[in-house]
Amino acid sequence: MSDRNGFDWLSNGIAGVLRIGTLVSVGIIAVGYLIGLVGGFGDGRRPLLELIGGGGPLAIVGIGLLAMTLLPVGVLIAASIGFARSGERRRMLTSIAVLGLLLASLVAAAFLAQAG
Amino acid sequence: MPFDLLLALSGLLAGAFGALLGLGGGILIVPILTLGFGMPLTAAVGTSLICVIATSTGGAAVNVRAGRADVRLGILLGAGTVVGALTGGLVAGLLPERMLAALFALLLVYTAITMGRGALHRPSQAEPPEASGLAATPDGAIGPAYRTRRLPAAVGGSFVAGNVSGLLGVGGGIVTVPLLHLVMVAPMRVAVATSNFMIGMTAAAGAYAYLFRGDVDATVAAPVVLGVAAGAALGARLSARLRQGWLIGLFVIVVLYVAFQMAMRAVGSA
Repeated sequence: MSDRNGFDWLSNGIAGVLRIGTLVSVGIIAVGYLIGLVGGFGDGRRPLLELIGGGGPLAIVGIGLLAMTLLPVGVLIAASIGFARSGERRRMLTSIAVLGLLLASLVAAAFLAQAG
Repeated sequence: MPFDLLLALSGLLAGAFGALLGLGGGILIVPILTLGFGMPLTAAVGTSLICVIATSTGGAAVNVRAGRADVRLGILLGAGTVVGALTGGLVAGLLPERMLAALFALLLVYTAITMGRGALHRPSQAEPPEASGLAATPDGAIGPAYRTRRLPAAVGGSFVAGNVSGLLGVGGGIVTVPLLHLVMVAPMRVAVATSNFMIGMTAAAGAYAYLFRGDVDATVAAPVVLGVAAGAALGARLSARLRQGWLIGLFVIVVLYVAFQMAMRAVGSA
């Protein structure tokens, strides 16, 4: 269902998040990877925060990988907005619940990695 | 450089294959990375999960825009698979893996036979009118044109799909596509596109742990993910053009292959 500006969050919004998000994350990964091919990488199997904190091409690749894994979160946010605007309350709550689960697993993963 | 090129080509193949059939492509990526490139299994699984997300987003970007993926259904069933995957991971150590693998192998053989028989009995000439899965919705947008059936059973099934994914380490798509096609009677093309849309959410729930723990090798993941993203966009377009019978036939072959793998695991050979 479209809003006052004729924008349908459930198809255009989600498709936009997916298309732009995929392009941006793939672009970031590609840039880091190309820089690494020229200048060298170093150890790529490190915890994400260490990888990003270390700087250099692997930090760029790490940011790109993180952006890629966050795309389902973006999709669920767009879906929640879409369902809210079209008055589908139960579906909106379902989207928010799944979003909560994904964010909880993200926070738990980051916390456990720091703790361990 | 040839090593990186091979990784990217492997990703391209897995992404195209995954998006074509609504799977994540993990059944290709994990063996390629472990057997072909000598990567440790944990790192291969972590990299594979990121690739499943890339397959899902790359393919769904095409499918959602074209109206082939049923977003409403995908979110609802996605909730079931995410919860199933999380609980599956938690109870994985408590259940006898061999028995689960045997039961799953039997379920897959039954699924393959049912899908194969359905495809054979379908008229070989023109596909049913809803086979493209597209129609104009009341507000003028293009969306999947079919009436979903047995929604409560499908929600339960999606929980099982996620559970199996968490327990046995197989992608949820191998259960979700038959669930959508056989139980909910969605056209195969819609089942594939909707499954492709859903699997990213399920994979993300598991991927964060691997990524933050350092079980993803960024130097390997980068070329594979780049290949997967390109392959997924290609596979999603190909899936829209391929005849429904071919899609089902290819899917049945993959289902039988996974059933064989599970049977081997059940008897302790894998």
